[in-house]
Amino acid sequence: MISADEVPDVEADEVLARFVFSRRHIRNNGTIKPEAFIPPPPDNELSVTRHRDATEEELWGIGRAIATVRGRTLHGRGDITSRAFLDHELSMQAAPVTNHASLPDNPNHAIVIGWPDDKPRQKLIALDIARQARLSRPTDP
Amino acid sequence: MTSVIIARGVSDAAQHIAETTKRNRSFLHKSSAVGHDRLLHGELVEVWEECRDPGWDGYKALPVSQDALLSMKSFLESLPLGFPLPTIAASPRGHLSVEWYRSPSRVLSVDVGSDNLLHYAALLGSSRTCGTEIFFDQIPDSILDLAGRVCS
Repeated sequence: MISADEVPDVEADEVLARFVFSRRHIRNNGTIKPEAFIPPPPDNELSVTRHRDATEEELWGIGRAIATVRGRTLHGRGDITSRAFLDHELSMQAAPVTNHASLPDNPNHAIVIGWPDDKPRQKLIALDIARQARLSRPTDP
Repeated sequence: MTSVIIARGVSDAAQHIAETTKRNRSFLHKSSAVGHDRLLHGELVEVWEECRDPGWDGYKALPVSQDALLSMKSFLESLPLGFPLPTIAASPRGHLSVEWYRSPSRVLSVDVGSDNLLHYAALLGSSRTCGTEIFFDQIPDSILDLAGRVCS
């Protein structure tokens, strides 16, 4: 994992993971629906976890820890390059989570920001991001 | 561009015809051959039950309200009989949404809000489009046309 004391900026060629906790966001054929990539209001910030310096086990460990504290089931994660967000003029910001009252530590946490306010435009971007995302299913702990 | 055509009269006769049409449509939707009854009473309610609490997506999703459920029910009941069935999901914005999907680059997604607005986006091969339409018990032709193009 990234050292919480020295968190680098998100680079254009990084792989980012979006954990999926709603089974309705995964199609029967194993592709991901755009709703998994729509940023929630009012902040319009999409939460992702950077692969950088993390093992598969560590990535799934974060997803499982979030699922536990939120009382949800982890159904998978969508992996996507930061380039896909940059192509839509979005930007990424490192946002490590440490000592949060209700979230597990995650020095690899980042947010995708700069989404347009226009809902159809957001939806179109999410469709294109979902098109490029690759779903992985959780491994056994 | 947003446009709406309200093709309903206000006379007693017109209202009678509208109510009879709605009743007949509801009856036909119960048919497994052309209807959407399974979708209306199965998947729709299941999705709503899964998404009616805040944070249902594991993040900061808004809850899907009962008004949103009723709007989607009305939308699905307005689909032409025999039209390809969409799948249903929920959006973190607290809307329910429908999707017609053929491939990752041939897909239409429509948010059905409780404010009578339909926010949609579609990928059709190399072309893409998005916009907003108004929904008053009748699905705009532009949405049906896009869904038809996705499924054709």
